[in-house]
Amino acid sequence: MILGGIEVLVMVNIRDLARTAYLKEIFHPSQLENVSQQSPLVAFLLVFVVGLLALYYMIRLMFKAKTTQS
Amino acid sequence: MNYPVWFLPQLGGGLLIAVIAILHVVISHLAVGGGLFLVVTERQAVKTKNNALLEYVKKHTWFFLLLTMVFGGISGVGIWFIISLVNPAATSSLIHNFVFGWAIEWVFFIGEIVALLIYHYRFGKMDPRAHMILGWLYFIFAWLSLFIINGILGFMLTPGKWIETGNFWQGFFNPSYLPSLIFRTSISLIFAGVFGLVTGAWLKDKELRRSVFHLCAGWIYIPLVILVLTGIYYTRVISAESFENLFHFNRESGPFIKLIIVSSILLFGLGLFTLVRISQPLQKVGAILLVVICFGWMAGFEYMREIARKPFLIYGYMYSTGIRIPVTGQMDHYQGDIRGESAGGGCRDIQTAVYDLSYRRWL
Repeated sequence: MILGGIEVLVMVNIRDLARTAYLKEIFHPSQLENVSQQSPLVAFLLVFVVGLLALYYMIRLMFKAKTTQS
Repeated sequence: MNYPVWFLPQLGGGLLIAVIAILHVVISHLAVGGGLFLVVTERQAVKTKNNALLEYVKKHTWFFLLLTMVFGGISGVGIWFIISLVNPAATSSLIHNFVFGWAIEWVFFIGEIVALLIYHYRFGKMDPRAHMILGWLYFIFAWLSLFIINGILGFMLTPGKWIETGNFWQGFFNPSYLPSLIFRTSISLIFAGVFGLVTGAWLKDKELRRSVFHLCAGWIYIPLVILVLTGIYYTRVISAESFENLFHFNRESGPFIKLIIVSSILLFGLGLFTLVRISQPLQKVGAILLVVICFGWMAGFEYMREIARKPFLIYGYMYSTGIRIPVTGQMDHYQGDIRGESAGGGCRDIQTAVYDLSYRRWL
């Protein structure tokens, strides 16, 4: 089990070294143009806050709502 | 990044995805429409002071919770597991492009889970108004999760301007976003009606059973008109190549087009039994049969959607083999290899060579 894990790690690293060597003269990730976009993160943060508030509201509702049904 | 290929010559990775996905997709659509079904039926029961109907909603909520939260949740994880094994490149692409889309989706999932658990475990133990607020919140979260996943699913078929700009929102609100959202919402309402019959058919009270069946018939037939119209709209927004591929060129689509036509006729034809008086055993058989037809219908629809985007996984961006179109230099290597192998008589034809090389390259 442990040896198997070590083997996978070694294989992954050798693969990565081989790829890096193969692409050395052809391509490097720094050649890619990086265009950042913040709005999806902002959208997530807004949804996250609203989601937390909704969770708080639902749990509070559960404890506060009167028991009137049988 | 290149990934190893999980080569399944007899079975095919696509089939494994399809088996898990079809089971999951039916249940996940039910999770949306069924939420509305629960709260609307509860509202009707409370308004008319119909305790028997309210008891039915309570029983149905338990069935619904087990099906959507347990089976739906597990099969949802199963989809991630199988797509990342069968096509890691496309899975990685979807994660990298829509990481905050998925994060938003998980916020909605948590909202769904909390709302439904409280809705079920506090059924009859809260005042009806507060209980129904939870029901509505469940439905809103469930529909919002559809709102998000629909953008990412539609992106794979019609990435639109994203191909040129890489803009998150242009990929998300892609050309097939709206028809797909309305179409899937209609499906979810229909499935809510069909699955409502399953618990309804086991009710002992004959009159209640009849009224539940009538109620479910409304859920099956009313969204039908919208489903048909948005289905036509859907076929108009996909590219001309996809349309041709789906309906004329690719013979693989034939059985699935037949499947969706036959299952539609069976679903909406057999569904009429809900309106006539028949014995309870027949009602049970009919309800189960309709559920099975729903799975067949969904298989037809999802396969058609998959075939429409062939030979791509992400239309115009990544092929089914996980190879991206704009990787410059890569195809030159292939062509060089093909020429070399062809000259040496090592391959039967160019197609075989491309197939062999594309796999070998990624191994």
